[in-house]
Amino acid sequence: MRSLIVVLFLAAGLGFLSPAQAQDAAGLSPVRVDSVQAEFTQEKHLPILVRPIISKGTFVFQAPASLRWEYLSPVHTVLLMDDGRTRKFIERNGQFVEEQGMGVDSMAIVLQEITGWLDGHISDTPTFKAKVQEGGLIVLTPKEAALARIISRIELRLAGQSGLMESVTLYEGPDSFTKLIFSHGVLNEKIPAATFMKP
Amino acid sequence: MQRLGEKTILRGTLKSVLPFLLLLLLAACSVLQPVHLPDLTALDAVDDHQAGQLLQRCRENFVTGNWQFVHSIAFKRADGGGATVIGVTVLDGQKLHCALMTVEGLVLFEAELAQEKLTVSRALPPFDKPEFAGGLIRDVQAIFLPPAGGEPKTGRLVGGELVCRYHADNGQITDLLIDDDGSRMNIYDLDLNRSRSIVAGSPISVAAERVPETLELTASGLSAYTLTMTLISADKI
Repeated sequence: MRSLIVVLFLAAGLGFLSPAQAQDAAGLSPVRVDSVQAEFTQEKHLPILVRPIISKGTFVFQAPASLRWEYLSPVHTVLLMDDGRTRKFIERNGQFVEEQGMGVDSMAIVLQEITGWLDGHISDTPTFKAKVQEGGLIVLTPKEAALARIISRIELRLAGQSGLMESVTLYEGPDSFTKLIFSHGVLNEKIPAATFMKP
Repeated sequence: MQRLGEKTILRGTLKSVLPFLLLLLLAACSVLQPVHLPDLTALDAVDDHQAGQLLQRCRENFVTGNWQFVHSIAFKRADGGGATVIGVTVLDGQKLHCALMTVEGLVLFEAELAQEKLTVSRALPPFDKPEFAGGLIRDVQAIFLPPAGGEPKTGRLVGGELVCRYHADNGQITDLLIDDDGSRMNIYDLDLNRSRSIVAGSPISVAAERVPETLELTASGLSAYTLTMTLISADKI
């Protein structure tokens, strides 16, 4: 399951962590990213849903390889990556419990992808093929057939030249998609190390 | 940079999900703990009124009409391992539709049961095994739909609890016990050993019907597991 979860982190990572590269791909001046903090609202759309499932959370990244990805609702979960170690926690009865069985190897791949985006360009990623369209829209399609079976495409929308993304939409099928809408983004502020060490 | 190749995806997925799948499969054929069907003393003619009230409460334990439920589902194995997913269940009288997705929104499994025909529209490996789909649908049916067997018998257990007892054509027996705080369903298989318990708690009123905020399904036996479901939303559609 963790390998599948990875895909959404890939997309989310793109949303927060590759604005510089996205801007570069779109022909804009790249912005150096040392850290990113933002809030997000996630909409899950499925044909069977009468209304989307709304999730809210926060995202914190510190170069080169520290990440805190936290869902505040409807299920409070925290994923931490720090010093090469990846852990996921879920809140139960007011206390965080570490969920076992999440493949650390898969998350290591994500981390490599994220750091790769920070150091390079979206078009260089071995995982996705990038196509820049008008209006600050970048469409990523998986190169690997195995990944394409899970995700058909990812759309990144830039938030002007702020160095942040406006949204990321991850398509699993024509009517099944997950949209992450970002807000209150902050670039390159110092982040306490403890943020990445405990839920 | 390491590539997110097909082998990596499938290996990682298989490694993390296989125990879950195997446990579900084993549940179907495991040696069950010896919790036997309790004796039932039928409500006699004097208790006709009480029996009628009990039947009504048992009927009201299940929603009617078209509904959509979204739950967080914590799967826990007997050894303490497990995972948490989001579950979507849609009931429309003729069909049962269910989907499982990660907290991050990625759909792992989606299927529909209509006129006893199960159609799986999305199943990421290893959720693409027919046995998984069948087991999942059986659990979903047990949780949300009235037990098979038509009108139940009513009676009292040895401890005095009032119970509706459903006898399905396939030999399965389901006891439904209801109180103000919720309900408990005990499902017994052909050899009258308990195979499942479903405890519904903290009922709330939605569209004038009683909907539990918490559900806990416990599968007994060597491959015991627990599904703890917390209501995120309930919509009459």
